[in-house]
Amino acid sequence: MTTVDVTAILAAYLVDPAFTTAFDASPRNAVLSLGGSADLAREVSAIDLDRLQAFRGLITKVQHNFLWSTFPLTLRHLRHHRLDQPLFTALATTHLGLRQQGVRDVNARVSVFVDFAAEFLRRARRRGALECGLLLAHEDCLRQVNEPYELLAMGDDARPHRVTPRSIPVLLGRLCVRTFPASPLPLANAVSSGKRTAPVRPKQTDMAYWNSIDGQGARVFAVTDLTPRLLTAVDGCRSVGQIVRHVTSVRAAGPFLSAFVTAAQLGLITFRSPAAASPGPASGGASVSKVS
Amino acid sequence: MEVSGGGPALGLAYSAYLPGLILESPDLFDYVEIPFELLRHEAGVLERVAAKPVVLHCASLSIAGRVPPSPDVIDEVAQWIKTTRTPWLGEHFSFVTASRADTGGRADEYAPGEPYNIGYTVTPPFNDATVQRVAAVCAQYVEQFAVPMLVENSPIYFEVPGSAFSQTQAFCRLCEAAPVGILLDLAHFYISARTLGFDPLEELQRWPLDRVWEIHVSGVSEQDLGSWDDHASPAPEIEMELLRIAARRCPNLRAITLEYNWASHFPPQLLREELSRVKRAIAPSRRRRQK
Repeated sequence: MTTVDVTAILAAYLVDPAFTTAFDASPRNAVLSLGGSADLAREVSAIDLDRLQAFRGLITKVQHNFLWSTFPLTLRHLRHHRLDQPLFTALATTHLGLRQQGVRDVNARVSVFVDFAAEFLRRARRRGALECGLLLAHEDCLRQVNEPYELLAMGDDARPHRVTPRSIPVLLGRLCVRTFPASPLPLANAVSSGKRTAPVRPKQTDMAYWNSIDGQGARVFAVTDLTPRLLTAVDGCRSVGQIVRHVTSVRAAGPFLSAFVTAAQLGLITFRSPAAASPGPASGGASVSKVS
Repeated sequence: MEVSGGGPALGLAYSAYLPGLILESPDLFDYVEIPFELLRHEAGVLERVAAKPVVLHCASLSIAGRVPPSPDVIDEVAQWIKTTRTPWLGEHFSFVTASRADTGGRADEYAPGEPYNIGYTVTPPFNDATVQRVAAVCAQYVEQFAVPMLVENSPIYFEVPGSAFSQTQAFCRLCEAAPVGILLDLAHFYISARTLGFDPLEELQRWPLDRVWEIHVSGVSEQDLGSWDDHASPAPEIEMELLRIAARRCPNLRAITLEYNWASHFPPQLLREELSRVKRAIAPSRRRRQK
């Protein structure tokens, strides 16, 4: 027989999302539904529900400490603006749902966190929410380009000056292009060095995150021309001409050849000749997205 | 634990940055505190800090709960006590597991089909039944593990239903009833003071301070809904005030552990400053003892 006491009620609240919902609606009925006595129900009903919910958020936060290695600036800034506790309190139900499903994979949990936090911050009408959202997206891009990858396609032409519309470019690393409401770099630098941060002035900016195969680490730069957009379409299969048509709808690739030449000179791509056998999809990998 | 120069030893809680710090500054601190739960899943941690003595800390014994941990957990704790040669075992006055009532709840990843496992220590109601349970369990573990046991004050974030007296009284009664020492966590103590509205400097005088062997120092996060444990930020000044009092009034204090272990990186300069703050806080009582 199960004995229902205060510890069982608190544990159920902190672990079982279905019970949490019932308890939030009516602590008394929730306790009685577990077979708790009327005295226990009365006693437990006096609990400070706001603090209990926030405690659930603290547990969720601590159980996400693994994020510190990937999102240190975001977490630091969330704390600075007192947004961490509300965020993780809101995340608790989702987190416990994953836990019940037995989801342990760190990458899966990071993805859930990123999606949830981005939406939470987008909706939060609180000071610092925009800045935290910028840092979250910035560190998420860094995470993506820092993921290990296999180079599935190899180029065989190291002579960029011989690039033609039929040449097939191959990425030599990971690339991620994202549209931000403002550049995250000044903010990231300030938070990283512990300096005071000025409010961000919105100015839509495309940022490219690049991590080359030579292992020199991720680089970030503002996109000022079409090159990164063209590179995100590089998949190791399509030719320069096909990529130009796909990205720009322009049929003549000639005006864009120089972008590919520059990218090759920078070591971002190489080429394989169209005659070579198709290596299959993708090389380093690239993505484009927008921070709303 | 042997410490040169007398006074309590200074330790750091294990985090990913610690092995590098030991290589770089081997004399910066005296020992490493490692959670049992980390060793269970990553035994290699012990090798990475092999140059330092280890103090084992635990959050799995659920000594204030009605559901004990599985025999496997207890056996593993016993094994790690031997392996690490820890001088004592620290455990929280809290529960982690609790009986699973018929909520229709599904099993969770930590303990499918078994009692609830919260995965985090929760402060219990302070009453006679709880104190008796903790005293009995601790007496049993002290015998079984053959090392002293230190019981740590958990933070109080809300008034726990079913409490008949204060945490201070609970520890006084526990110390009368069981052969345990106290691991006084100053951040937890301050958080409890903020939640319940008592003066921490006054309340500390009411604790059985002669039983305090170890002290924890860490950060506190101030949020809209109160103060919360935070091992990723420096300790507030009130903790240093409490430490000054504790260092003077705790004759058996052997160790002070700085717990900055939530983030995989803690700025080294900040860590050195925190160690210096702690040293400054205990310096007067150190000098007094040396005379």
